[in-house]
Amino acid sequence: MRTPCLLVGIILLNCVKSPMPPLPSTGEDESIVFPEFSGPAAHVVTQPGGSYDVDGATLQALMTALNDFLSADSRDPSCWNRPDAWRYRVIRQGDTFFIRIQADPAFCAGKLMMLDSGAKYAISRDGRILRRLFTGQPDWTTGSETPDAGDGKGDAGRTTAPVDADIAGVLESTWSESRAWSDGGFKHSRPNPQHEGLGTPDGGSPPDGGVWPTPVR
Amino acid sequence: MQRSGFSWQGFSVLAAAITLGCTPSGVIVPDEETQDPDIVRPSPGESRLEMLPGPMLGPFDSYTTALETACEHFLNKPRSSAGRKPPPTALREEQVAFDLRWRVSKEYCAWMYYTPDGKYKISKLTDVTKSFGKKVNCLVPSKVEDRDYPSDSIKFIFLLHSHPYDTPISEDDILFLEREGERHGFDPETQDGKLRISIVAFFSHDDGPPACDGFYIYSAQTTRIFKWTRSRGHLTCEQTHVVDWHDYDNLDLSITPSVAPCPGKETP
Repeated sequence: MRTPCLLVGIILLNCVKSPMPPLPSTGEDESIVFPEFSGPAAHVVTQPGGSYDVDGATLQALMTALNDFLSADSRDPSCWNRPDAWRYRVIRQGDTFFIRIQADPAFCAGKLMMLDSGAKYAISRDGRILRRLFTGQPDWTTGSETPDAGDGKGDAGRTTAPVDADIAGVLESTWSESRAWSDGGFKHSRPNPQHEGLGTPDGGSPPDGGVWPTPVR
Repeated sequence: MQRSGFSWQGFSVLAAAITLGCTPSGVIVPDEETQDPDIVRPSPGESRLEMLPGPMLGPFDSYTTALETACEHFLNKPRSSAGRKPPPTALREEQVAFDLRWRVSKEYCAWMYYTPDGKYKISKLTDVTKSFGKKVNCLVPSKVEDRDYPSDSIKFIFLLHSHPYDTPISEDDILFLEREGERHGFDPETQDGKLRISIVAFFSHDDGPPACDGFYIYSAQTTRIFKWTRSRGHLTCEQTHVVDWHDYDNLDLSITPSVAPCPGKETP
């Protein structure tokens, strides 16, 4: 009896290193609802020349999230395992720091995509992970259901039933609509900072100087 | 009668652990997908795939046929589906069981491309190549190579991937798609006219033998996500979300649930 149990223990211990997501840490509060991260940021620390203050608690929260997201044993040379391959947005509400980590699509020289890759964290002022949610991870928070996603029964917000439709007809109708940008113009590549992980796309330098019109709805 | 030295219960647990794919070296035991010729991964010593070879499927005369065929093919791959997600009001045990199925699931990715002789093809699949302390995802190259055609003659139509359950296109997906539009062109010219580079997420509601139950699609430089659902031989469509572009320059967007009918002509 002892030998099989010992073997099972060894095997299960080694399973911890397998490429599966970590189980939620004890005490993670799954009732925490993440705020809306999109929209204009109050401060963006990307341009040289300015000065920015970062308080210690914010930095600690970021480090906590980053250390969890890019664990030390996974920091191999692959570009997506680098901290600078990601974009970070922080929203502070009281003593909780909400952090969104999102891939910088220009990284890996624009040659390798990491789909469904981001995460959100809620970090306490003393640096504890209160909650984390990876992109695509099941969210059991009440109200987290998207229309008709998951259980296939969600009719909330629906005014008409889905109808039989021709794939090409719908897509080509959508493509023929005006673009999301006011001038309907074609977007060219933006000038990118030269960086080991960043590269210019195949399209080369932007003929219009990289100025993109503002999108409209 | 009590036996000593050996327990079938302990042996069963051991067998189960091995079956689950864990080894003392901490790696997943090679399973059937490792040998699958449809799936490509970096060679030993390579940190990443530089391109996806093609084709895996095709040639097809229409992109819709290619899309429907690809959906079935993706969802036939091992661990592609975690099944139907229980609602938030479901029993905790059901939610935990679903969480576990999701954790062992994987995404598959490929490109649908268009060839100079007017055909649509699906590249080979890639699945997971890296984990970094979290769930691993598709690490998909931007490039396809088909030895029958020069590289620069291939046009990129749809970036295809599977979701382990019924979830819409994510913000991450849209960020990458817009980038791919810059790289390959937003409006590939084909015999069917100008198409729009798009991203597709297939899903299945089954966690047993999975079948294609539908897909979400978002086309670059648009503001709507459509969901196609296959049920009893019918393919139905509805808009499920809208994409709000707050700042395209900085790729700042949000996705909001918003149900509406799909545009275009309905089938009789």
